[in-house]
Amino acid sequence: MTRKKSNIPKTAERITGIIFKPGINKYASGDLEEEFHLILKESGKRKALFWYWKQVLLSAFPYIGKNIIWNIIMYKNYIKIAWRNLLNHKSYSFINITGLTIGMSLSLLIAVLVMWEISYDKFHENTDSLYRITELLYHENHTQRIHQTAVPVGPLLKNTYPEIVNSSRFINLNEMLFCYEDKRFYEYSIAADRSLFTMLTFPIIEGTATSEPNSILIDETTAEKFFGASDPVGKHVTVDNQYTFVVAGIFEDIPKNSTYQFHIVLPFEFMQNFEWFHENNWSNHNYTTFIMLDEKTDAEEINSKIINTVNDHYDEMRIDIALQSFNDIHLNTEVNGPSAFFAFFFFSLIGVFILLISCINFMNLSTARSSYRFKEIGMRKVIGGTRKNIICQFFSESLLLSFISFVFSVILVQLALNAFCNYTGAQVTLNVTENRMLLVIMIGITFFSGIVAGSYPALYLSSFMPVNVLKGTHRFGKKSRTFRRILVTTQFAASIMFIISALVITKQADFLLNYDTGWDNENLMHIRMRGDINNSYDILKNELNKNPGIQRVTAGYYLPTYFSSETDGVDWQGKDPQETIHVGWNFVDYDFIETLKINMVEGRSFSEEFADDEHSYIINESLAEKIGREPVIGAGLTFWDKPGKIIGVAKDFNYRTLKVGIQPMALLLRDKNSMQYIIIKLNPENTASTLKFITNTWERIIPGIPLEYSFIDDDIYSMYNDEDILGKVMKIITFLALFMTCSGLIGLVSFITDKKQKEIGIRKVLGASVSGIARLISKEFLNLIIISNVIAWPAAYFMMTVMLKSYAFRTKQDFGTYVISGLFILVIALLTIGYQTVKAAHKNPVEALRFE
Amino acid sequence: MRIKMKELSKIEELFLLTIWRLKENAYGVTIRRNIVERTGKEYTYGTVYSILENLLVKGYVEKHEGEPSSERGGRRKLLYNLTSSGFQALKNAYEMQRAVWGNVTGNTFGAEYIK
Repeated sequence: MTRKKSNIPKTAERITGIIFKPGINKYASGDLEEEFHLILKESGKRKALFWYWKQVLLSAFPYIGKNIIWNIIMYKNYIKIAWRNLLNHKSYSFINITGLTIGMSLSLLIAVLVMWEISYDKFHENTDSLYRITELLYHENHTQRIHQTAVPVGPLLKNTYPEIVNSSRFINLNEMLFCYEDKRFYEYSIAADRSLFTMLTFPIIEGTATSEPNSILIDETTAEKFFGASDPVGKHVTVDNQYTFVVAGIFEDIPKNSTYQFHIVLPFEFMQNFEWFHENNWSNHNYTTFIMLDEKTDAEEINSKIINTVNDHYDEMRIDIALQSFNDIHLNTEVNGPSAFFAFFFFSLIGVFILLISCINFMNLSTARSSYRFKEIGMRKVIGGTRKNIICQFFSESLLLSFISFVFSVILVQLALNAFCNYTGAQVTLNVTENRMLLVIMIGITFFSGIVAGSYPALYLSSFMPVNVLKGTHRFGKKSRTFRRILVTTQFAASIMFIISALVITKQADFLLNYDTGWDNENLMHIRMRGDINNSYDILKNELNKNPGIQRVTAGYYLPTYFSSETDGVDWQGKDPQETIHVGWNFVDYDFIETLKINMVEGRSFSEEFADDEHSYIINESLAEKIGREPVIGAGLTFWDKPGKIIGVAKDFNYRTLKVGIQPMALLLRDKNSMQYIIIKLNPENTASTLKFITNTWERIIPGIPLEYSFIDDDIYSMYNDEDILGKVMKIITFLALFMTCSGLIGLVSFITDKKQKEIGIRKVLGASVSGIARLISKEFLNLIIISNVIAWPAAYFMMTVMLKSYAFRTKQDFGTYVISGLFILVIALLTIGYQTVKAAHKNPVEALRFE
Repeated sequence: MRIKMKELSKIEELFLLTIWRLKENAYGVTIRRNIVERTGKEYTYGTVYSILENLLVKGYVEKHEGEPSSERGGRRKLLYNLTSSGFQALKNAYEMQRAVWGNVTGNTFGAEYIK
């Protein structure tokens, strides 16, 4: 009989052989193969393969279940023995449980954090059919992906493609002043199409999301703030002292894991109040556009259809559009830059490493104590225990320990959770009924650590020959020594990587905080200016300048820490018309350059002595270089179709976060109505009384409007808060990892000195010194530490290079950091093993040798 | 004294009936396919064989080897057929069924049934 060529994977077939009883398995696999061929003929290979695997895996469950039932009595015994062992060696169990608890708590926290990151924007009911439109801008020599579009894109798409069932646009209005009776608050607002509320899941709890042009929707917190207990629906509020709106509805506070956060939603029609707004404006890419696809439609298909939709509207530039699923808005690298994803990936990796370190720790300690168990293993084997029984025994011990550690780590995590949430801004709980995935992860972590930690003792110790073990002539083979060395090396390598990462991240955070931005941020204070305040700016500036505690007063549309927008509406004579150059810009008042102490390379700053400075521009070196004319001072520059001339070139300074580089930039002189911030340079002395003076002046000139001020160095600090926190967290993790590594090391050294008792005795008798013997034992570890450095350095270098790449301005990685980390580990290790080795070397040789 | 026969479980009844229906051709594939088709529920070979083993132990069925074939990778079939006590149990189950349901049919339920 010839065998038909079978398409069945060998592994699946092998599993079949195992899970069915010996008498049955050949028939069962025959049956499976026969039906596999039937399904292969009926519905193709993929279906058939799927069916086969499903059969095999599902069949395995009854098999496993049966085994458990049959062995339950034996298991009871395993656990009993494990429990007795745990109680008999309390200090050992304590170290083990502490190590595992730390490892499991950290990895649990990290798992929770990672899950939080994944949960972003998943709360929308239609997440799977929701998409955000992104634009791919083709610049002269690079492309840029932005996640906003021009106004007409949304409606155009919806009208062109029937597969797109809905679309919605919104624009950030930032903070606007809302007044109701005597209550005045600035609230973060957006103007949006009302379809926003039907597409996304922001549940309305009162009123409706009507499309009335003068109605607004507010969130619960804001409603509470303005209206307290009374019903807000139907109440009238004033916005920016100009417009009146009716509150039409209240929506639930937006969950923290939403990318988009706002408190008040104005109707999109509100935008028509601005003269610069046109429904057909294709050049202003400030609108976020969402679309919803028909459930049956394939996103890829639509993507390829829409890619060129908007290109007809641009002559100079190519812009492609694409869909971005709501599922990957938060962690997408192309739009959000690599840092978000890197942090995500980096933390997951650390979680796994920590768990691994604590498992290795457990293995080292069990190896160290293996000689105590020899007799037990021998006895078990002699009275008929199979190897399987002994493996089970060890696994139940490690699982018992990991379960106990799990309970402790849940308690620990629960205690730390609050602080953790404050620290990271995540909003997480350990509630497993709400979060099934968390339960799976918890069980996964417990079993993973139990099984990995127990694997070495279980598989290795169970292989001893009972005769050797009982006679005491057992020799540890070369293999086991190599394996232990690999474990120790891995542990050290991971610790070194942690130390290096912690140092580099801290260094980068310090670097960002102390970087010379090209302007002076000391004693700079800024006051938010909105609505009517601008009218009083001139008087205020005059009054403030009278105080000797105040050096200078100026104003700007953006703060020097962040010029958030850039434009391609800049032209000059001799500019290549094909080339698109994006220029950062800011509207400033006189004295801007002087207040910030920005160095001028050429020319002058804005001055009241020159009447036509309204048409003058100060540019930075990067833009001067682009223009490339000599002399650049006096050259013409057209900004948003307004011709003017360049009067000064400022030295390149950082006007955005250091995560991005310095690009061409221009400063434009504008009057008070274009300003958002008053910027004040204080004298370092008596700031308290100066502040008091400022408050008093403010209240006198602009009564009734709260003074909102802050200091720029605080802003800078909060800009780099993430890096700072990451550095601190890494230090804590490093410390804990070191602790675990060391406790494992202690166990291992005591094991080795135990084995070498006789050798040490003989050496001492022959005249070896204590230091000589200590050196002998330490030498082995020194080699291992050198090897782990060799492994850890390139790995850490690679990881840190990737991390630093996400910053335009980054600290250099110097060799010193690496050497210091390596030496540090060396010292720590020597201190740890020092005590044990010296103790062993001091022992009286007679004790070790008297039985020979 | 005759020990009173225990009642069959629904599943056992289903399997015995299927084996009886398949006559000489009752083995893994045919039994599973038949049951899956009739009940619309998925049974894996793991379940099928553990039930068949149970029936074997209880003495309701007996097994013997069949011919090997190339579709089965040259392996033999394991054919099942009812023993007399298996047939008796099946008969009892049927009578029980009839006694309990009497002359209730789909029509008896009327409009509610069609819903």
